[in-house]
Amino acid sequence: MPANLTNFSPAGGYVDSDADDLALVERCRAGDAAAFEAIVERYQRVLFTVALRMLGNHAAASDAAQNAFVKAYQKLDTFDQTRRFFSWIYRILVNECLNTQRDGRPLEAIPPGLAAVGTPADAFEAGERRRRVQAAILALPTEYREVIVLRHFTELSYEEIGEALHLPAKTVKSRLHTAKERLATALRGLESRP
Amino acid sequence: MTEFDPHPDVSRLLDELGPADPPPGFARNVMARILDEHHAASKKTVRFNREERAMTRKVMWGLATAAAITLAVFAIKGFPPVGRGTEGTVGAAQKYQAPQIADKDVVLGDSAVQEFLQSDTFERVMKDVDARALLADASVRSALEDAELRKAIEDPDIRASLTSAELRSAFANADLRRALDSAELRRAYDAEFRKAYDVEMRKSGGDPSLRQAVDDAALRRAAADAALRRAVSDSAVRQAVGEAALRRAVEDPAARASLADANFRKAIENAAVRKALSNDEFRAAMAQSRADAAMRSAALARAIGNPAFGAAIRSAQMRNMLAK
Repeated sequence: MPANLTNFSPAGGYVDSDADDLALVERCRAGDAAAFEAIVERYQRVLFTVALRMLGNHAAASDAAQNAFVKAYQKLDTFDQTRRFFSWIYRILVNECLNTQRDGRPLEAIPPGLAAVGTPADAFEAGERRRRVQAAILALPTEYREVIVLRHFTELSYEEIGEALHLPAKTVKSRLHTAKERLATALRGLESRP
Repeated sequence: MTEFDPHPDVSRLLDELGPADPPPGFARNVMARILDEHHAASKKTVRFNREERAMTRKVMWGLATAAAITLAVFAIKGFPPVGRGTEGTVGAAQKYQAPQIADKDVVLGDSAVQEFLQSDTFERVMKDVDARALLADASVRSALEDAELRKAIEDPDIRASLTSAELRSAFANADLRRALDSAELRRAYDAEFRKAYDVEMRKSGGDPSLRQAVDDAALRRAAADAALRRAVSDSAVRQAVGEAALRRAVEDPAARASLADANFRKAIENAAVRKALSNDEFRAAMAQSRADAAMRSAALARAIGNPAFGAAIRSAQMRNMLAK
């Protein structure tokens, strides 16, 4: 896997995006607001996923991801081009999610994939499993939740997560280990289906 | 990745959650907010320049009129001798003339509106940048002319719902609007939800560990799924809403949220709120970054609740004050 990766790219998996990101950022800084659309298109799915796993609520996740994009646009001038754009925007998103949590908005989640409408018992069981996993993620303290979410739903490396969260890679690794231990305890007895 | 994973089961369970798609129209909403701000910033510059030019013109006219009056007075009464103590005369004439010119620009409304616009209540709105920005939007002012909408948004939950991405996304689609507009669907959904919730409660009540892990919110979600599935099978609902709109409602997370969330439901039960949300420009205004803060503003809520607000929102004077 090459080092410079973006994830959940709609077509064909991972792409090297740093150069594209920087070019788009440059266009935005030059006053071409529409250039930001390509950035939104590129990152909307992964940012929404991170927000959803952090917050467990579609509406709150959508708001947090939208706010993250808008804030990123407003603060583009402060973006240090020697760093990766996606690390920077993830940091903004994680802060948004933490703010949402602090606001104390009740998190009444909507289940992922009501696409299971009319499907048999397997789908129901899978839905239950997903709900329990999501509940276990939400029960983690924030410092563990953010690393497990960034690691699993963005495929960032330890170094990239560290860059996004302003943590040494070693700390990321150790928090990730603890997070998984806690999840393993919380989800004991729950088996995934291949 | 070749590193050792001590908890492969946990990793598999996490993988099973997978990525999630943002609600339909997500990118469009983000860009609408960004482009709004971009244009607002440009307009602000243009407006400032216009105001600056207008002010310069006013000052010039003021000075010219003052000079003319002073000359006329001097011509009739004779020019005063130049000496100590007379240096401030022209300045005094300018000060006297300036309010006369400013008065020409004031459009007077009825006394209740005047009183409201000069009240502390409205002054607080003028000092609240978020509330002021929201009211400066023509589509918002137009929507707030509706007394029913003003009454509905006295409820803070409804105010908060108006800026929700979920609700805006649902109302952006004609099929979903038709579904959410349907009292038949909402009624059937509620009836089915109550039944399904009881079933889910009983089901999870037998398994304490499951109950602990999923909590009440999860029960509600499961019940909401079941309720929607059953409600869309109802023949009266199918007839009222139509297959395509129902299919869309079942597939769309924003529509599901609109039906399941108690606050959203409060909002969409109100016809005036549904009408406002059906307007593209109103939704775009609610997507602006300041709308959320504005809708939480106590100053705005108090102002909207004032009996004179309905007349004031229609007045040119209020529009002009907000535009300054």
